[in-house]
Amino acid sequence: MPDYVIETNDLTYFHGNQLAVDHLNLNIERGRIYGFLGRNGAGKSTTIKLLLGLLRPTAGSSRVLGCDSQSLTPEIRGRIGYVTEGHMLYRWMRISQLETFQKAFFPKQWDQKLFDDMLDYFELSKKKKIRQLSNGQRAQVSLALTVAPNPELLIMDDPTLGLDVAIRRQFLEGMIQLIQAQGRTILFSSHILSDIERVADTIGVMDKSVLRADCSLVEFRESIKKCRFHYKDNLPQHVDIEGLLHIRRNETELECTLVKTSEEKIVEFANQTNALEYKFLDLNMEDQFIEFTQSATKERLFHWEVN
Amino acid sequence: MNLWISINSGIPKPIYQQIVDQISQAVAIGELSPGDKIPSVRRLASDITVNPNTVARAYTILEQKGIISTRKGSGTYISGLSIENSDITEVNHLSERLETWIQQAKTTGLSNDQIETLFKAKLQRSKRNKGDQ
Amino acid sequence: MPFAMLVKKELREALPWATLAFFVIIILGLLQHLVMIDSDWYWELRYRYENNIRDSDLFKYNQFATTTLIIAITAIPLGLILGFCQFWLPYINGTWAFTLHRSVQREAILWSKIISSLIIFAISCLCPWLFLYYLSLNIPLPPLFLIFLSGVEFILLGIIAYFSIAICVTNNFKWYTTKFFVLLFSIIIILTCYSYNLQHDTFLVIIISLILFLTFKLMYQFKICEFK
Repeated sequence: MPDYVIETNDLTYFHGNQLAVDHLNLNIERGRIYGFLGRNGAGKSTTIKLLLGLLRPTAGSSRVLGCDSQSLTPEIRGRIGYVTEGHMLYRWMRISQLETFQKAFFPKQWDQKLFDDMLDYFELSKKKKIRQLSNGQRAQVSLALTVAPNPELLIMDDPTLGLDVAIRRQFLEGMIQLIQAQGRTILFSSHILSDIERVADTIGVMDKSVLRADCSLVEFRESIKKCRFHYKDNLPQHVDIEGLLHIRRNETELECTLVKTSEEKIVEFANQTNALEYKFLDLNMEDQFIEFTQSATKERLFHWEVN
Repeated sequence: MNLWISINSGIPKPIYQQIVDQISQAVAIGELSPGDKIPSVRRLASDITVNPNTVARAYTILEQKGIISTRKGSGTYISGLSIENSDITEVNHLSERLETWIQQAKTTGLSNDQIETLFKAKLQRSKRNKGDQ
Repeated sequence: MPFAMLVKKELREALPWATLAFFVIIILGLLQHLVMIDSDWYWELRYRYENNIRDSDLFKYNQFATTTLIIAITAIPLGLILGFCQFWLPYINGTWAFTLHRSVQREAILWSKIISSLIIFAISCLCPWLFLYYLSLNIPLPPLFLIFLSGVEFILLGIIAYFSIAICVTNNFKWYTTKFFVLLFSIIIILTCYSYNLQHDTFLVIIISLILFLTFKLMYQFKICEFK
């Protein structure tokens, strides 16, 4: 039985009349670095707030570290680090005051050396007030404050939003250092795909309130491919291949974006339509994501590992 | 160890594949020689800002291909040299010293050909000496 | 200790308003005290008192009585401001999530706000009021205890304002429907009490009951409310 740190059961949430999260069934195993992908407004932030009990689900339920989200005990909350949306902190406080504030809640767990090292690494002086910091620096302080108590589970809501490219890289470097420590699970949402590609090992794709993919990063990357069929002049009008996401055509070529389509099916199609040849093209992650979420056919890509 | 890996995220080639290809290429063109030590999984992951699992995956593939091999407690090396465990560190040291020597020779003003000639001459002489003994 | 840290944080955030209220009461109170000590009013009162003319006007014109208005105009806005700052500003600043996700019970976070507000009312309103009360002992007129009580009632009204606004901003109703219902409800109750010209003891019972009701309502609401 896998050890799930996050489990949801048909989690549903309506924001007024708008469906924000639609029957979400998400299970995240311990030790995973889970990249939560989706366009703006797809429901990622809402899901995170539901998991942490900041919102009440319209239907369904969720559990974090074995405890129901709506009744998370202080002890469990102490084991979850949460980098909030926008990394908003108390603007009037100095970093040293925030440190004292946060430390009071973790008398035994607080790793002073880690906190100090992180601030040194980010070149932040403890005397600075939060209101004097840029967005990126505030994100760094947020990360340091969240990580110093050595949380078992780290949940980050779009942590690199609004950060410039250099600070983002620094932030990711910080995350890699965290990943090196064993046993820690990280859930982070982002719409910056290149960040996810570097750091995550498992991804979930939310598209208009629905979870469309929940699999390893490698599997996602390898499952979505483009196949170009070359014809003399007899392009098929109707294209029917399993796993078809998108079609583009010109006079002599038919380009199909496919998900998890076996080579046999492709060969079959090529033969049926008398294609001259077919060629596979690799896609970058951005293209894969766009094709996957914008396709008219709402394909799903799930892979549950059963131990 | 002179291993410069540059990873691009956001291109079609998956990151693990980029690592495999770049190390393979470095070995093929001689930038990395058998016996050279390459960074550990953790070290490389930290250097190029990539999930350690991705690096581990690349290393596993390279190991399966026989391009690298990991010695427990010692590190990861480019394969090709069939040497005893205890000699690997020695070979590594020698390899580094050789590099330093070549740099010094170049600074003195010797050309590549001259260095090669000098080295070959010394090697020949040591063979002859060994032969005498 | 985590709870003490939360209270400290709330106190520090409310410090500007607490200081303002404190000095408003002290300064206006002292001014009034100094200005009126030689006024006709004062001599009128003194005459009536020394000649044993005890009527309701004595209460009305007592110099000290008018000072209670200063409390009214300070404590009630202070309550509204504290409620607004502690419960609505975190929505605007986006810091609710940071505050709420802590290794303490959610109730503890609410009580840290309530207790810090009560401390502020005690220090910024009650203490200056006590000071002015004892100052008035210098005047050769008995400062009626009932006048002191009137001041305390106004402080309690300030606390009602605080709870009412806190409940209103943390409910998830729309502003154009029932969001401010509780505030209106409290205002209506208080105005009704005044229109009936109640005795102090009845009035106090009503005020304290209202405060208890609002406390439980706020506790319940805070437990179930959503923090978007």
